[in-house]
Amino acid sequence: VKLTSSEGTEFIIDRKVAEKSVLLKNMLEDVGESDMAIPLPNVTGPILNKVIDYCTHHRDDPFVSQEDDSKKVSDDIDDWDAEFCKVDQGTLFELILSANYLDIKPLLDLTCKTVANMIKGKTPDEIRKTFNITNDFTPEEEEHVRKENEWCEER
Amino acid sequence: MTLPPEILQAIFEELDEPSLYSSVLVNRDWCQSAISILWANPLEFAYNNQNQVYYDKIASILSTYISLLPNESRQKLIEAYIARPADFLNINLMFNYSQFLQKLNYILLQDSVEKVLDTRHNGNENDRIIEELLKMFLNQDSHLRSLDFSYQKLSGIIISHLDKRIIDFPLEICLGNLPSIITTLSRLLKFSCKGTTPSRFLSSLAAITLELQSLNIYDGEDSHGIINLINAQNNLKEIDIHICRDIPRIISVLSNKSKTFQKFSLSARNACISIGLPSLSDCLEILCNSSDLEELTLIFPRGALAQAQWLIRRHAAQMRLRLQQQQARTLQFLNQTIRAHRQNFPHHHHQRSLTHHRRNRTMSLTPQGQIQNPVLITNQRPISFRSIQHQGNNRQTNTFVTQPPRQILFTNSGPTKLQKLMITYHLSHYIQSFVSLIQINNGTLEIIKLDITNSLDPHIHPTLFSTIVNNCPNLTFIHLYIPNESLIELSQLFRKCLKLQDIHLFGDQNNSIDISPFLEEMSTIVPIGLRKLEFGISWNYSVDAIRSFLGSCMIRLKFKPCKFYHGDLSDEIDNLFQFYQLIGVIQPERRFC
Repeated sequence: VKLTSSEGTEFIIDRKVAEKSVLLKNMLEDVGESDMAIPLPNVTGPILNKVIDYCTHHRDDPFVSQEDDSKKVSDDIDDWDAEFCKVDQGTLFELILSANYLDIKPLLDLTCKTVANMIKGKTPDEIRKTFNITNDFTPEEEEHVRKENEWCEER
Repeated sequence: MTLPPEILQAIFEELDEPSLYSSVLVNRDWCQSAISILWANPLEFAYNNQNQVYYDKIASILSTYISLLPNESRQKLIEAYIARPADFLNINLMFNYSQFLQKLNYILLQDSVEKVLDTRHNGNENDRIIEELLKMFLNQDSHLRSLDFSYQKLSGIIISHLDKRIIDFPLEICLGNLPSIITTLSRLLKFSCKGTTPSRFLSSLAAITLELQSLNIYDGEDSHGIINLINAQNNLKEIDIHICRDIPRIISVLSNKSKTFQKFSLSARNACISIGLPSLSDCLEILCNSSDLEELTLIFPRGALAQAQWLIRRHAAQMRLRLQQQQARTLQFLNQTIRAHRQNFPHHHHQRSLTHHRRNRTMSLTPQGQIQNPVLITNQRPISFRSIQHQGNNRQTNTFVTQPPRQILFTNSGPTKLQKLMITYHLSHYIQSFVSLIQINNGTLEIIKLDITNSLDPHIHPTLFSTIVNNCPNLTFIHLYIPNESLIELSQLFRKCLKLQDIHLFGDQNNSIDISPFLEEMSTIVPIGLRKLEFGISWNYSVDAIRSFLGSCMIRLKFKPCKFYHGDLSDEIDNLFQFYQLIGVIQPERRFC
């Protein structure tokens, strides 16, 4: 199967690896085997490379059905996956977006868990710093939200 | 770079409440995405928080809900002198939090209203407040998908705080009144109830709620409503039933719904036998077409009738044993022949024979390689009923067993994606069914617990173990009775199921047996993920065997300690365990029997 990233780089991968992505799987089923490269305008070359790494490593994993609501198990990331996610934030976010676009549920779960782990145990200020977010609440709004939800504060 | 809301939601789903609280305060976008998850089931969090119930937190949630009550409800409560206008002063809330509720735990709602507001109201007035709250939760375009009327899944600490009382149902009043309530109820996906839930209510729910995916039922007294509710469903996926009455009727209703099952769990642990004990074959039969089934749990009681049957069988087996001295001698002769035969093959030099038990039964067991020997496999135990039946030898008809068990044989249209198989049933005459079930599953099984431990049950059959060994490469957990005939395949288990983590094997409790040769063979191939190992107390092993086994564990497990349960063994072995515990290879746990 041939894939083209947004800047036109071509990738050749096994069909089995490609089928990890529900989007590609459905496409391949519709079109059938062909020599035409599948264009992926939303995914850049380096990111596609990472995604293919992931799918190749997990090629033999059983398929997880979409509806499976996963439990809160953010700690059970295995060593390979943890290493895979040690990338800068921009790459991680792009990975999330392409996993979402290509519909690769396990990769989306993994990357979301990784971000969740970055949020855990932090104060709002620390979170803003980590993700470079500006606070657009008015002071009154912030006070309201704080008051209405303070029941879940840790003590 | 910013992430779209649906991805933020997916991330927030992974967070616990305190981290969600931080996220809510980050900025407007994050707040929008996180707030609905934070309020999906706040009461359960407040009750469950750090093993302590904080009523001030609960009070804060409840007062938020109460101040969200619509004008009509407020008016009603004020007119009935239950509430004062002052109670609703806190108006301009940032969100309509009540519409975020996904799971309504009725018991917690009831308890919170009683505990928090109790100082001012009597029980009747509390019910009015609960009624208005329920109306609010149901009478809007809500996220509500799960209704829970049971104590199950709540921690013991919460339950100790709850006043147990029968749920009386203001909800009944709401039913059928308002179209939007019906819409909400018709969207429910999960329902959980106790036997005390009125049948009337369940029956009226059955007319509205048709798309439940998950159904939990505990301790049904009157199963009429439950049966109606099950009957109305179109898409049941997860069934978890703990009941003691009317099980056969419930099973027959379930049989029409079984095509969509993914998880099926039935516990009849406390079933009243006189009221109708289900048969295992009936349960297995309804699953013959559940091709999506992933988890199967069946727990059957060792009730009085079953116990009596078991005693009679045991007696019969002992009687038969005496009658069959002759047959035993034949078997001995046969074994000697096999051994003589084997001496012609020099590569079988590691054969060992185990003389065991007091009854002069001699069995020759060899480590792997000999399993395929058809003579060995057909060597059924002399006490087997089946061997007699199968031989078509009519001279001994068995008067103790009224009916031969109906074997359900699974085919490829059955549950071929099973991951978890747990069955507790004290007799084992359904082995053929289990064998066929395991055979159609090609490597998907990860957990097998077959609690069929009665060693004198003549139907225990070595085929079961070899089927598991040959069909389950992804097994991580196994709990199984190993008949002596299967001991030679023990090492095959380690060789073929490389992902095993938790192993609990036990043998014939009435006859102790030395498993040293098998243990030595297994020691070179200990699964590297092993975390817990338990051998039944009737298995002994020599110091050398366990030394080489633990030595291998040290190398292969890379000092991630493995729990090792062992019986009462010699001091020397005890010392050995202590040594390996000291260097962190194992955590020994002595088992008391």
